[in-house]
Parts: sequence; structure tokens; C-alpha cells
Amino acid sequence: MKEKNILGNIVKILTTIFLILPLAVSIVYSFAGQWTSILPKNLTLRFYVEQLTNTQFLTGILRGIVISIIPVVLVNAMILLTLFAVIVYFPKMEKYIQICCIIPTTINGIILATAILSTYSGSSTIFSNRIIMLIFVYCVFCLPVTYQGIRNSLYAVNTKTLLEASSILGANEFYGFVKIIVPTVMPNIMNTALISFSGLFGDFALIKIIASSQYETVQTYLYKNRNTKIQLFCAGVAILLILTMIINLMVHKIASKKCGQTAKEETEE
Amino acid sequence: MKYIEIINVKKSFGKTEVLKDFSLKIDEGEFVSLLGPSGCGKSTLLRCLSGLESVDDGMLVLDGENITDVPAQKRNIGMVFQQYSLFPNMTVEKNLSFPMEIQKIPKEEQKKRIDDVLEIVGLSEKKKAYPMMLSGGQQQRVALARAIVSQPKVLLLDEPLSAIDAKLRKNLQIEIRRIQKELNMTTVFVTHDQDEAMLMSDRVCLLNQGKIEQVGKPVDIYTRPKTQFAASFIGRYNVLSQNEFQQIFGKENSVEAMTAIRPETIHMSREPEKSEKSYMVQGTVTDSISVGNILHYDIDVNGVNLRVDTLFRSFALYQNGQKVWLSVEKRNCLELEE
Repeated sequence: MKEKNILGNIVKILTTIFLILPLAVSIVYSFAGQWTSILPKNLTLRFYVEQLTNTQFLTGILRGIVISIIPVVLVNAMILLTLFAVIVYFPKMEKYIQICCIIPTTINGIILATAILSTYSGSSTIFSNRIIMLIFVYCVFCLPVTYQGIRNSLYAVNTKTLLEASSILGANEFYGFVKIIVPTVMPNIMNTALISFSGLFGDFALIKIIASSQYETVQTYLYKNRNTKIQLFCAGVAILLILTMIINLMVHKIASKKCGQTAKEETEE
Repeated sequence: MKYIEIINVKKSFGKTEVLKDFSLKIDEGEFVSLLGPSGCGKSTLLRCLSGLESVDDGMLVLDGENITDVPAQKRNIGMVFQQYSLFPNMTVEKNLSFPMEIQKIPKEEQKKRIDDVLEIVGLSEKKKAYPMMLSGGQQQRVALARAIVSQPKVLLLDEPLSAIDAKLRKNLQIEIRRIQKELNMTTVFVTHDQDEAMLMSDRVCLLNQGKIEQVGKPVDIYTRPKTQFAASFIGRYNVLSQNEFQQIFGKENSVEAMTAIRPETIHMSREPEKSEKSYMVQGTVTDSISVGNILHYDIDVNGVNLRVDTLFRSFALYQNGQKVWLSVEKRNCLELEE
């Protein structure tokens, strides 16, 4: 038993090192002024200052956030309303909705983007706009995770019974859905949205194929400048990491507040 | 005209007919239990009354108003569900104010009603608590408080105690009955537990396969079951065919119907006690189970099993294999309808 534990711990430590090492090296590198021997000659925050005063980098971050948030919000709203209709009015449609939402998992992102590009780029519809095209590609991209997350949450809180209870108390279904169901499942929705957001924020392949010339996010900016100065690149990666962690923490904080944990503490006080 | 009238209601799910021409009338302030096995249609009837299910045919009348096609939101009916269905994102206070917000009742009045109703259910100190912070029993009481706070015309209870442990369940049965009497609220209670129905109700409506099997006061249903189903469902009746009756007592019953004998009306003794008013037979104890102060005996009489219940008394205990005399008064042999 003890031997098994030791072996398990060794595997855990090696895996952690394997995962953290590139990141740790990048962060150490981002602080290195000059690095010509085994250890860096001096440490500096110069590259961080340089990145944080670089308007292209900052605009890229902002663009990355905007282009990731819009599809996430759109898909969440769409799936919530669809599942509300399915649960309340058309329960038999659920399997078809599920099939539609899961299909994108079977399609490779690059193939999806290329196919959409060749279909819509020459058309005279609104979808020929690269930014709009990108938003909808991202919508398709985060559809399966969002659907599965929201669906599981709605069934976990027994949506139908809660809506029936609210109906008996005088509320119509939509009012009950907005006042009871949405706030109840909001922590789970936020967690699912965070997964989708992280996936989209970290993307540079799809954006490069569809809209690189028109819409430069921080990912495409870093990719473009990866060979200019390596410490600068590493500082950019470190800043993005910190930013993602802050967003994660904020979402978790809000989600746990919505869960009523804070309320519980307040009541206990 | 009665307060609630359910007139020839029919309801089917696909090809399954759940309610078959169902009719029942309920007085104002009455506590009626719908009792029956799973799938007999009792919950469906309650959902039809609440408006959560539509009826295929028939009419529902509440306080003189035809509510058959009135949506659930507008029926002014309170309902407590089996799973409580409290809103998890709201405190007890918010849960209770929810129906009153919709009715646009002034805040002051809302506050007064919430305080009153929480006092009735004994949860005044839990006003600010969230449902997840309450025990099952407390949640059930909040659900009851929420159902009555908007002063509905009828209170519907759909197996509200089935998820609660036995001891708390007994307390809540008494408490619900007390609150119902205090508010004189017309109540329809669904249960599959005959003891619960007997304890709480003014009248019990026994359902079987979407039809009323028997309606009456609890004591009448228990002492005078009309059908084989009623006798089998209520208590531990011995239900005997004509052949079995003849096999046991050596006499033919006057009619060809089944006969029901309550186990506690059979008297057990070591010696025969002859009487013209009673049947007397000898049998052999095959099994005995003690449930609290009651002893359930299985007695083999001429190859037919009879259930006999006696009070636990140390001087009158019988062992398996022991010969005993059984006497049952003729008037306690109840003839059942076909």
C-alpha cells in the first residue's frame, strides 16, 4: 500500500513538473535582462512595462475579451431560451436539440472555419463580414459545452417541478424561469461560460484563418511577434496568464456568491 | 352546491385511461384524502384540480365557479409537492412573499402575513434562511406556509410527507391537521399510506384504476370495506372466497360473494369458547411477528391461512406449531360486493 502511494506521488509530481515547466521557464525568462550563460545576468521588469505600455498589446487583449465574450453570451442566451421552450412546451424535441448541439464536436475547428469561409466570404449577406463570421464560428465552437452544461444544470434543479410550483403560486412560466430557474442555475452557467471563454480567448488558429487581417487579438499579436524578442513574448504570456487567473477568480467569486454561500455566512453571523 | 365538485372527469395519457368518469364532491373546510396504490390516478386528479394537467372531459367546479379551463396561475389554489419545490435562490421570507408579489399585495400586509404564517408553522426564526440550510421537516413546513400564505381557496397536498422519516412524519401529520382545522381550509391530500389517511382525514376516497372504490369516514372505510380491493388495501383483512370460508368454518356463507374478516376481530384461546353468535374453529400457529404492542399471527385452519392480531400480553403468547381455538362473531364476517 505504501509503495503504491509513493509511486502515485512520484507520478503526480512528474506530471506537475511536465505541465508547469514550460510556463515556469517562460515566466523566469520574462524577468531575465540578459541570459547568455547558465543563469540570467540580471533580472528586470522592463519587458512587462514595455508590454503594458504597448497599445497594440493592450488593444489586442481588449479585442480578445470582446470577441470571446460576445459568442459566449449569445450562445448561453440562445441555449437557455431553447431549453426553456423544450422543457416547458416541447419535451419530445430534446433529443433533436441535443443532436444539433453535439454535432460540432465531430467537426475539426480548422475544417469548420475553412468551410464557413469558402461558403460565406463571397456572399453579399451580413455573414460575409469577417468579424460577424468569426463570432458565429465561435458560437458553433462553444455550442456543445454550453448546451451540455446548461442542460445538466436545468435538470439538476428539477426545472419542471419548480416551474409548476411557481405556476400554482400565480406566476407564468417565463416569469418563473427568469425569477427562479435562471438565478438558481447561474453559478453553473457562469462556470460553463468560463470554460467556453477560456477556449475562445486562447484561440489564434480560427481567428488567423477567418479575420487575422481585420481583427488582431492579443493571441494573434503574440504569434506574429514571437520571434522579435523572446523575453517580451514571455512577458506577454505571463500577463495573459495572470489576466486569465483574475477572470477565473472573479467568475468563481460571483458564482459562489450566487450559490448562496455568502448569504449563508451572513445568516449565520 | 358543494365547495368542490369534480364531475365525470376523464383523463388519459396516450392509450392509458388514468381517470375514468371520476366524480367527487367536497364540502368547504373538509379534509379529504385520496388514497390508493401507485398508478391509481390520485396524483393525476390532484394535478387536474390544480390546473397543471388539463382534463379530457368532465367539469371542475370550485366555489361555484367552473375552473375546468382556468390556467393554474389563476385558480387561487395552494399546493405542496412531494419534493417541497422551494425556490433555492430565495430565502424563506422571499419564498413566502413570491405569490403575494404577483398578487400585488402591499408590502406591509405581506410582512404581516409572513410573520403570521411562520408563527403557525413554528419557523419564525428561520425567516432569513435559505432552503438548503433547513432540514427536510422544516422545508416541508415552509412549503406548507408558502401554500397557505396567499390564502388560497383550496390546499392540495401531493404526498408531502413521503420523503420524511417516520417520527417526524407522525408529528407533521398532526401539525398539518391542526393548521388545517385552525384555518378551516378545504384540503385535498394525496397519499398511499392508509394510516396517514385514517389519521388526518374527515373523509377518505379510496381509488383503484382511475375510479372511486369507496368514499367515507375513515372509521367506516376501515370497519365496513365494500369491495375486495378496499378490504385488501385497508388494514390486514382476511379476504376469503366462498370455498375458503367453507373450508375454514365448515359452513357455506349465505351469498356467493367474498367474505372479509378483520384480524383483530378473531379471538384466540387455548380452550374452545362456544357461542351461538360466533363461528368456532381450531387451527395451528404457523408464524408470529411482534410489531410494538401488536402480535400478528398466521394460523393454518384446514389448509387456509388466517391472519389474527392480538395485543401483546405475556400470559397469552402462542408458539409456532401450537394448537389454538379461534372464534369470530358472525356479524364480523363482512360480505363484499362483487
